[in-house]
Amino acid sequence: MSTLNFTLNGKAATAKAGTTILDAAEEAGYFIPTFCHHKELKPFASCFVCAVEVEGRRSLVPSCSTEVLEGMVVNTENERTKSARKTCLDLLLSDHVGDCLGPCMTSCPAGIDIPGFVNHIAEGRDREAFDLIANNMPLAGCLGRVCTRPCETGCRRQLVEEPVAICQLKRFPSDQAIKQGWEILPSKNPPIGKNVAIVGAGPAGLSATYYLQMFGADCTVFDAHEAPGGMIRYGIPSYRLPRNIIDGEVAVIEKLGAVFKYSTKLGVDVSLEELKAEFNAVFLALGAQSASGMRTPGDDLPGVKSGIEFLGAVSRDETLPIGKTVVVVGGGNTAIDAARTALRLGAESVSILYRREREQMPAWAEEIDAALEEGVKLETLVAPVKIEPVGDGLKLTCIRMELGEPDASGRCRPVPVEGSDFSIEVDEIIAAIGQNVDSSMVAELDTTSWGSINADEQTGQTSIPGVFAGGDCVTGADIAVNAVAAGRRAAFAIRQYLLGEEMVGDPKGYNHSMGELDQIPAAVTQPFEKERRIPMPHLEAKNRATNFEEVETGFTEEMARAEAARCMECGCRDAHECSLRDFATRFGAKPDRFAGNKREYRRDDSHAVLVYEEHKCIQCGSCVRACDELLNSSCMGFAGRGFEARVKPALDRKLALINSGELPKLVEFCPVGALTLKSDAVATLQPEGFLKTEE
Amino acid sequence: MEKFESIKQTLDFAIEREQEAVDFYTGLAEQSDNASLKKTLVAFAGVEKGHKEKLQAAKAGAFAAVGNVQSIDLKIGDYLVDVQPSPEMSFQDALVVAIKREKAAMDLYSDLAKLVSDSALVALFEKLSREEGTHKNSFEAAYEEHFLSEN
Repeated sequence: MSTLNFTLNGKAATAKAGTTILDAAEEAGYFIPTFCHHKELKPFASCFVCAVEVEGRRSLVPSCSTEVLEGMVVNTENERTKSARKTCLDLLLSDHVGDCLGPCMTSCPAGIDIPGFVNHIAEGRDREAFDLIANNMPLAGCLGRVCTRPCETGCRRQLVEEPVAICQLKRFPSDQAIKQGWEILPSKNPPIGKNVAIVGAGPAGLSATYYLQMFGADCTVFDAHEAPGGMIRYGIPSYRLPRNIIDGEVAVIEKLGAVFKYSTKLGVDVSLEELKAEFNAVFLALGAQSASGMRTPGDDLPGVKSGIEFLGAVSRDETLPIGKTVVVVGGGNTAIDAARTALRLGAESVSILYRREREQMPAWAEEIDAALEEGVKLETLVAPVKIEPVGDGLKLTCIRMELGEPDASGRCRPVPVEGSDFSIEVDEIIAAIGQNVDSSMVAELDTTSWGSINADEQTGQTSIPGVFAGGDCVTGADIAVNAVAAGRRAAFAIRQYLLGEEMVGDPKGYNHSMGELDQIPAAVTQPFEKERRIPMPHLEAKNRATNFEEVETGFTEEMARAEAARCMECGCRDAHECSLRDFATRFGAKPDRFAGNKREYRRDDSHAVLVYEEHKCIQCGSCVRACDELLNSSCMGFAGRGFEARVKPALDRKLALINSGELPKLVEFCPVGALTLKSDAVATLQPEGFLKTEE
Repeated sequence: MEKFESIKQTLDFAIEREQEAVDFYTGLAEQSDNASLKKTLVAFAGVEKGHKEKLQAAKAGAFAAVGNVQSIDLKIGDYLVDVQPSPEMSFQDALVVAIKREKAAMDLYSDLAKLVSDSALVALFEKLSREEGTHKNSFEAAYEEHFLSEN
């Protein structure tokens, strides 16, 4: 066979006569996307995503079916071909119906493979569930107790009755780890010979340390406190998060090789300048540990303290003395935690004063209910205006409020009612009205007016190269899972920085979505019967309000299996191998560029081993041709014409009615997730951004 | 009250007060070594400059824009302890200073409206008082967002 000389992307190249441009380019190391081409099938040239430019021809040509000719000049990577490919992909995505990742996963800031671990739990693979979670998040036992569950807001099960108890299920494998005494040591890359200083052993710092140790860096963690955890230790009481859970999860990070230096305060015991000199990179996870003072007259009297000051002191000593009558000012989780903690210390009367109404309280509804069950009183539409000493106690003057116009957060602004002042006598006042960032010890960094550190959202890079920041010290006081996610993103960016790579943080692939809850077709939820969400077992109020025993006792195995079985397994079984998703990511495709009708949601689950989701099919015809050319079968075929053309089982029957043992073989010809094996459960796939393990 | 014999004189007084505010924040910013406070004070000076320009525009005829919004008085500043302005103060303190200054201006114009008899001047002082109330409201809203987020 003769050898042909041609030009490929400006370079001299050769190919055997009869070789397609696609094969010749691949041989030369160039990537050309294709859906309809399959080595075992004849060229079909229907998807056109493999189009390339051949000089002298007006139109682009499909590289899968065009053979190389002597002297041909071919461009496979110029703007014209890239633009054509993107247009093809935009068109394919314009009527595509399906989700790459489940809405729970995209709602979770840490991006945990939720359908994956829930499926493992449902099928009794608790260790696999544990490992899958650990791959995307440290501190699962902590967050499984205190996370505010953004994932559940996206859960489609609520279209049937209630969202799956994702957060409580996330706790279950870590409970099993303790119960079963599992040896836990996440996989780790070889050392990269770089060291990183992490300032702050709260959720963001611990998360960054966890990943950087896995990436092969050597981390030293500095923290001003005497123990790790940051706000999850010093801001959350032990009846919600027992300290052995924090210690156990930090021990895993220590086993990965991180060194912890406690009682070491930035700006006092060590400076940023010193850390920059001693370490290859610095990650600041300082938290938002300053309390907003009430600034009312008398707020500096003895007996008045901030919520985080109070919770921090109790975290160090759960036998602290407390007055008989305690008032907590505020409506967030810190206020609720402070009130419930005051009860546990022995206060006889604990009241929460809040400026708005209960519905506007930022605290978790379940936590408010739990506090009320324990005997905490809630006074809404009341604000403190003055504190005075009286005898051994305090006189607190308050004013009644009424709600005015809504503010930027949508909450109505409270306005004082003239002449409604009243006074109460109390022993202690705890102000839990907000937290701030104190960044005065890193004055050389660019900060916002309110003191939070300015850092890139994706990488955590601050105004000083090599110094990164994340968590509450960047965002202001926020939920723990956001800090964990920020630590993870920063760890990826710091690794890239240390290795001299482009800093992009933790890149996410293209994600297609069926939309918000109100856009989901009824056919999606129709197969599911109503099943009650399993409530988390907990201690009775009378047995818990006087001690620091953990209130929520965790799911039993039976409960966890039943709750996990409620998962509808949204997301695509093929998300991590799907060519459409891969190419959409590579070429920056957009599903909304071309408006038009969407495909009808049609899922065929009838077959014993196969699932066919017609709404995900891109009509490449590979399965139809495989039937015809290789399997001598007609089980799949085209039906309809033009825009209405669809690939369907023969005679549009259910797959279960097609008597062919060849059907499962078609899965390997489907480049997307239209034809999948039931055994390829979402849980068996690698999660996003999985870690490289040691070779 | 001879100072306030005409609308022009009254607006000149108000413009002068806004310039005093610009100078006050600019001066503090220049003295501050704290980068984030410096940024805050420069921003506050910019806000006051905007107020001054609005009044200058009113003097030139664009009068309708002044005091045309009646903000709800959140009265957050009424219950905050006074803060002594300093180049080392916190952002929270800086906001308290700003709220208190706007409240003082709002109250001043409100009082002046009661002291003059010319109905055109009464209307102008009431407008200026509403305008300062709007400024106070924006600082109080910022205070609420940053320092009363859980309350």
